[in-house]
Amino acid sequence: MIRSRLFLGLIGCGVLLCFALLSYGQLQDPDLHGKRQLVKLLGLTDLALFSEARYTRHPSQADLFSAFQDYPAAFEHFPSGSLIAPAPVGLNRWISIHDPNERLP
Amino acid sequence: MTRQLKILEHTLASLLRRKAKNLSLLVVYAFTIATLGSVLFLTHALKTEASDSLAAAPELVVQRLAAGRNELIPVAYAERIRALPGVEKVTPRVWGYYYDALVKANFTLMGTAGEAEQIELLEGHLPSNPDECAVGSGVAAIFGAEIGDRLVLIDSHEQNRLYKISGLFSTASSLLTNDLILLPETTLREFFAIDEQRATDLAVEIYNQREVKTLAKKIRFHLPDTRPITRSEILHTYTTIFNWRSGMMLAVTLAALIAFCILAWDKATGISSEEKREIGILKALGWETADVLAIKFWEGLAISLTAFLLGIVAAWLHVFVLGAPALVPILKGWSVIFPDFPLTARVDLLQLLTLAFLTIVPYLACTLIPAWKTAVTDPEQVMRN
Amino acid sequence: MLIKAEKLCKIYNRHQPDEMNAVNDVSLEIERNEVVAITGPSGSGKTSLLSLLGCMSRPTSGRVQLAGRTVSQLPESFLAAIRREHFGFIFQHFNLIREISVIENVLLPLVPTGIPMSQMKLRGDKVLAQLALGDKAKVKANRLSGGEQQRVAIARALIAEPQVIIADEPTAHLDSRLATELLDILTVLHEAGKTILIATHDPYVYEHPLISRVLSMSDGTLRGAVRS
Repeated sequence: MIRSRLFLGLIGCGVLLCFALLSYGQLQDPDLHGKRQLVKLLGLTDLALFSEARYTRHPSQADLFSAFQDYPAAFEHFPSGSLIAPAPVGLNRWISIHDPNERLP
Repeated sequence: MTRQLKILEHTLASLLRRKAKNLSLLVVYAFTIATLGSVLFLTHALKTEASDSLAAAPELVVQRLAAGRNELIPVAYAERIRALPGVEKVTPRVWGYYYDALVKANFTLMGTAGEAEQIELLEGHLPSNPDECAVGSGVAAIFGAEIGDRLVLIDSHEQNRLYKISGLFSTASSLLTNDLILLPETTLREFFAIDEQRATDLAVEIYNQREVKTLAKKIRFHLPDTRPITRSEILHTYTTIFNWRSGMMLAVTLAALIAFCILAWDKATGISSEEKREIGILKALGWETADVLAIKFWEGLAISLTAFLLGIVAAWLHVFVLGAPALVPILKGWSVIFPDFPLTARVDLLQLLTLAFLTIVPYLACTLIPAWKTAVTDPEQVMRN
Repeated sequence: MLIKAEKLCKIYNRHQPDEMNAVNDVSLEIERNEVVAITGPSGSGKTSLLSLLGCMSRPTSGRVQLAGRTVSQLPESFLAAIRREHFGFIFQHFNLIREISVIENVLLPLVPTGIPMSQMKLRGDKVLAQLALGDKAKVKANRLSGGEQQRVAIARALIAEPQVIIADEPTAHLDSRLATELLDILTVLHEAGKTILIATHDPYVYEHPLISRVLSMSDGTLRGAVRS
């Protein structure tokens, strides 16, 4: 019975270790205050992850065509473009006006 | 309880018989889980980071579009927007991109109106003189610059401009500020040759959160050549950015996963004549079908659960301790400067459970099903074959 | 009466071109503490008959009674329990699991039971000592000689203390010295009150004074008693 006890013990330790790692992340203080202050004061809108192009540096601010300069099905130019899904056109990306004479609230 | 424990003991004894085979399977399995886990951990951490910090982004950013492209927006638009009921404040912002041919990197140049408030994550102070600047850690690193050093940038009239670094953003903020160069707004206007009447976009603050959509509609109505972007759209962009569809990384790991599935399928379904004989012996000795299946269940669980735990722990250490060295080159793409960001180890439990479900259950199934087919036949027949 | 078979038939691959009538209309009765040998050429259905009597397979028709209770139609889980509790099997090729130790092989029938490990170990040690295998307990089964493997197989058949020992061609892979040794062991078991069923075509076995009855089989049918 040594093997099975050892095995169950190791699995138990593994599960505990996993939970410890996960809860460590949840308890970690992400210093949100500092980051939010920075974002608020400077009016930042995007993460500085990919700086190679306008649409990868500021995906939320890019115009809808720059990711597909020529044709929507054209191959991406930048490698990081493959990580950035195309903007969900038609969801709530555009605020459209159907009837210019429609009375606004 | 003792019964299951004894069956487990027998299973482990028989797994240990084929040490090399099972160990190599375990390593490949754990490696696949570690790769998948790393992608999930990294993208989730980035998503959380984005939604946590960008929650303070402007409620509304108004751009001007001309011929389908972003154009500078007339500052006069700010007055018209400010006149709309519900609008608290409209700030014209000046910012743009700058390519440095020397270091071959893109930077984001941003104008500040000289905020008085001290920024926590800034060492030094915001530029207060026309020839001062504050830079992100990526900029400082690529130029090897420190506070007090001078930064040389070439403006739109091909003139060399010298700016003294008065502030340096800490690495804790580099996910937001890595490629940022902050200049006083007037200096930046001169640098980019943007006249006083124009701005890059307008940041709009609103009294009532619930009116954001209505106000966006009103702005579009009154200024049809604008495009308002709400904060929820910014956040939405970032939740979709790293989602499962986001191509290359997952495609790469998917190939690994498929390769593993083939291996596992081959290993698990191809029940050898030796294993068939063993099942026959056990049944002849009075083991029920359920007992034989219990062996196979424990066998599958021992391998898949061990591999899962090993893989997850490895992925965690890889992403949150080592900073995902295996994934950063893929993420980085052609970026010359890439933030060296400390990630908060936030993990999505649901995602983890999904991963567990998608890796453990199929493996269990493909160990159990072929064994079940053998186990339900009469032991005598199994032994004859 | 311990085992009673009535009109047993076993057909393999039924309704297929390679249909085979392995056991055909066999009826027999075996008393407690009897030693019965079933002889016949290979392919005559000896193994099939033994596996029907030992609840290893179910008859196509007819029935098997064990101590007055019909067992041949019971569901699989009951049959497994009956095999474990009432029968000990000694197979032609020993059928040990090769890479695990002698004691692990011997204890296999007791693994899926509620008997605690410590008691199982005691029983295992006792049986191994009886068969002069006490010092081989930790040795892997594939490291043993043929005679030792045979004794491990017997030890495994005895571990659950069954009433009936079923041996299928037990001397097929043994020389005459080991065959004598085996028959000596079976004699001891007979004296201890076990019922023994042996399928064999070895005259050395079925002419041994231990055997109380010899039945002859050919083409799946019982040709009656050769000697009793």
